[in-house]
Amino acid sequence: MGDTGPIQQAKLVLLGDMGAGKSSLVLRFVKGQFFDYQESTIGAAFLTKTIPEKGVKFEIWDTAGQERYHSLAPMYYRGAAAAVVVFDITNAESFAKAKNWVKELQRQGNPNMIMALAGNKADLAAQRSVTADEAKAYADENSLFFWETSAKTNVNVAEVFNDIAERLPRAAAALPQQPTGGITLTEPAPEQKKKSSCCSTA
Amino acid sequence: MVPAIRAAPTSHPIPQETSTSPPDAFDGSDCDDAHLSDGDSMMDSSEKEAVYVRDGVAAVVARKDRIMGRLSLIKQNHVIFLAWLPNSAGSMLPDGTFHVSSLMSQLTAPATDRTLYAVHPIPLSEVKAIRKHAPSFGTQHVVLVLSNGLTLPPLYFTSGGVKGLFSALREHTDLIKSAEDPNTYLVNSGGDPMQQSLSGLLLDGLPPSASAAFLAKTGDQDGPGVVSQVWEGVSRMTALAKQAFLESSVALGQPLPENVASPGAEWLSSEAAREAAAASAADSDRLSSGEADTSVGVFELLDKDLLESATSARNAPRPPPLNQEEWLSFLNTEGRIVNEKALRQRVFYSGVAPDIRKEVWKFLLGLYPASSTAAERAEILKQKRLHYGRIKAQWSSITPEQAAKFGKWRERRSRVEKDVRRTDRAQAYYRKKSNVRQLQNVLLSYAMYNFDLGYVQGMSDLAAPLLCIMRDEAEAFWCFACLMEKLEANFHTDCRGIQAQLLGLSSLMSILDPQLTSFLKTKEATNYYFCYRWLLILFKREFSSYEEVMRLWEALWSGHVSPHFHIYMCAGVLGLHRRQIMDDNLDFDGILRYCIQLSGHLDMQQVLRCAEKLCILAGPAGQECLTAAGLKP
Repeated sequence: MGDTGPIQQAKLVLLGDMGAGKSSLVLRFVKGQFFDYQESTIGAAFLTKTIPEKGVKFEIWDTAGQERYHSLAPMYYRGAAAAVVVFDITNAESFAKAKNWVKELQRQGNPNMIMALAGNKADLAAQRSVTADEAKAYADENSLFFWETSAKTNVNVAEVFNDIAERLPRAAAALPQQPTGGITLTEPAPEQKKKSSCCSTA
Repeated sequence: MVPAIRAAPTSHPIPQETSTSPPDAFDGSDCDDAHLSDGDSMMDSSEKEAVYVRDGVAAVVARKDRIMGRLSLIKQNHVIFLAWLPNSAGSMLPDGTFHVSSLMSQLTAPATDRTLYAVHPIPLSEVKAIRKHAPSFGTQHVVLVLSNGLTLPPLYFTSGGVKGLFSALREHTDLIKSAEDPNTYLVNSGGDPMQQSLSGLLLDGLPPSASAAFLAKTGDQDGPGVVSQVWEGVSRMTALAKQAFLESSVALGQPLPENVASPGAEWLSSEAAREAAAASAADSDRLSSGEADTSVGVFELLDKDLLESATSARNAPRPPPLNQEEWLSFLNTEGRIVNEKALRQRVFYSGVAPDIRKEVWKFLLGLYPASSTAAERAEILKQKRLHYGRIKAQWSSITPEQAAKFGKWRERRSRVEKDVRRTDRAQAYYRKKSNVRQLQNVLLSYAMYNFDLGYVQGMSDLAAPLLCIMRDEAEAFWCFACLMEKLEANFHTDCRGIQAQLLGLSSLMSILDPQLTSFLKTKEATNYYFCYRWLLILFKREFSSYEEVMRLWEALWSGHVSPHFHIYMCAGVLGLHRRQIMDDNLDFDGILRYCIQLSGHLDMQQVLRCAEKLCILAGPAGQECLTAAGLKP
């Protein structure tokens, strides 16, 4: 990961219930900003962020959360190298929706997709309705990274993306085998490294 | 709280609070009985818009019929506009209701004519000549001839002379006395020759003497010579229309020769008018079908021009927005809109002044029928207020115990709450919590009123500007409900509304721009999903200022050029960016990204103009594309 190869581009998509904080996570990660009244996303938003030390340029697709717009989602996760599925720890319903997204991606997404689960709004732990253990257990079962994050207080946001960046297989110029994918993969699937997930604010 | 019932229209005199309204009591029966005190008033134009205002100017539309009105020169963005508006039949009261002047019944001209002959602001550069009539006995009057060869009704100065007008004109433009007729002055735009409109350019070919001769005959009687002259003007126009099309549609601010003819067309003998209209319609048909048939397509032909003409300063200035005085001139004595088409056209081209949006939008959105009288509107509003109260009571009476057993409502309410608190909070109006609360009430009420549809993301974007204009929950609610009548299909789970529009856009683009269409085919991007947000919330997110969004929506709701104008806008935006899309060889993701990132970087006027041009170029073939996609004509 420390090698100084050319920067590789990786398509990353954010999915999750409306109001879970997808846009806020992206904005915090990309611009270091947070707005209390971050406007809803209609259709999708697009941002990029390069992590030079990991040699990765993320092309981030941030999607609309409401169920009604579900049918548009494949357009955004098609060919994505990574996905961050976001839920709101104060809202059990959003955790249930997150599970549905994970299922859908496992079924229809890029088979080599790297997935992370983000339990957002960790700053509101007092109003928590999804425990860290519960989420962690689910993440482990499904080979997902799990972090509890707070876009507002900037907790574990960079960690989610760094984790993904590390797991992205290095581009192998010799084997451009997946033209539709966000990146070129050298291995059939990334190993599921046992990485301790964090619940720092729990 | 707003009182539930508004004051009904009243017939006793109400003091005018708005300085722009003409005096509501005047005697239109006799010009000599002038009671209007002001002489020719010249105002300093530093801040003020009006550089010349003259009341008591009557348009004589038949031997005996005269319509009293106000002639004015208005300065906006360094451009002078000329307007003559009939005195309004009534006036709007501060609470939005309508006051009818009892004296209006004494007018000699039929009420419907009043608005028909109104001269809504036209740039002075569109005026070709002005002829002064100053008889020793009788009333001084002037006749205006437009650059397109049409003559406006003679304007009689019933309370004072024409001198003030001429000095104001001299101050702002070049008046050249005709060599043939010392009473005729040719009006030279004097400014940038590039601002000359098509009509001006076309008639520039005519020697001044021809115009003068034309004028000499137009004074008081219409002879056959006039008709043939006008006809010549119209046919010259249509002959050159194709080559100069871009300039014409943009510069005139009025797309087709037949439209340019208004309001002067009434002055032609009906036969000539019919011929002229038929010829120009045929010409525009030919134009559109001709373009449609070529494999080259409009954009290829016009790529450069399209960009330039939609951008350049060559565009003739658009008149200032419809203001209260002019708005009232569209209403008859009962408060009915008399010339709805002209009104819609006016709104399309110039928008509505912020202070009358509250009233005009209710017509544009269909809450008030155009044929409604002031009294009927007051009644409609009263009933709608009561109805809103009942809808609101339905959901606000749900107790926490009931809510606990009503998951669907809980979910819906939580969605509304999540979105409302983050909708347009940067706008001054929504910095106030109580206004956010009102927006929430409007949307919760709608979620109850249209329970099958519920709340869908995007609705708060549509409702927020409405409430900001209405400043009243009930009115905002009903305006929103009217808007949703048109847009509801966009929000259905099956996306059928959007799908139909995307399909329509796709076939429209295949006519207008075969080159881009085949490019998109190679990228498997002909589903046009990159236009999704534009269509869903009518470009709301593409412009950052409320004023731009509102101006744009007014143009859409005016329905003037097409009921599906927003689809032409999509085509316009793509057309304006086609080179980048193709030159950069963008794939579907790339185009989607490109379109998302256009937000905040579009020029609203440029997009409107471009879309209008495309709409005209596509003509009936364009409409067929949309109809075939399942969109109502």
